[in-house]
Amino acid sequence: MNDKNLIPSENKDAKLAVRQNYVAPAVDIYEQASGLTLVADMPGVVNERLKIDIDQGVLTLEGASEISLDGDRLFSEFAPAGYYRQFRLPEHLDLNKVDAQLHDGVLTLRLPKAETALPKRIEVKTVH
Amino acid sequence: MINWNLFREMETLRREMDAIFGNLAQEQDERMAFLPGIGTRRYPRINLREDADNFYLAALLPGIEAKSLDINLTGSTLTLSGERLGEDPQEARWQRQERGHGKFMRAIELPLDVDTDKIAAEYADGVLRILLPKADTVKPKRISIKTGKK
Repeated sequence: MNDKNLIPSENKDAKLAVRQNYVAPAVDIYEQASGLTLVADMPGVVNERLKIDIDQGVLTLEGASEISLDGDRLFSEFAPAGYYRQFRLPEHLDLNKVDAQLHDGVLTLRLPKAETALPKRIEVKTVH
Repeated sequence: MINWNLFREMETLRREMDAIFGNLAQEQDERMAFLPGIGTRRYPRINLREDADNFYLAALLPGIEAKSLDINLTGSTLTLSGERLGEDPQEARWQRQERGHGKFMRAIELPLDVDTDKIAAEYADGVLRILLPKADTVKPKRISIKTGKK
């Protein structure tokens, strides 16, 4: 081994380094007749620091948590990180009616199905 | 030896061991651990910090009714308990279920006595913060020395 091997490689991608501080939030996703509901745990995130994007069928959740650190650490089980997670959405959703609510660090995102995808019952008329 | 407390000694030992090994393993998975979810790991995740006058405790507890949280202090053991209610949507087909729910309880041994009258707890944005001022009896006190000189 020569000296060259001991030189640490530089991190060229600064953006990637920022992303390393992100974790994927735990989510629940369930489907009902009316649409999809996504529930994500994002403790420490406030409205202004949460970004939800839908671009070309990909849903991106991005949030920064604000957990202040006072004093010196005695022990810690979490670090104040951001949240980042992406999901590919199915095609039959009405993206204009998406509703997002953030309450006590829990994000609830309702993605209703498009009218055309909802089950429709066709009445049969009897003609005499 | 009257004040000798086995649990406190064990907790102190654990903390010293952590300090010796530089929290090597902990540093690695700390960020991963920012995830409350289903599992056998300790819940809620907490951070305990201190300065000269106070202990600061932060616990990640998203989606909990503040009323259902129970915080108790016995001696220097702080107990956090409560329940996170699960959702039960009608006629739903689950695609992912990663969030946990149910009752939880966690006891934290504080390294020093705290002033029980001045503890303040606050719950906001899914994070519980507890401020525990250290008791006056355990704070270091500077003793001034009088010199015999005239």
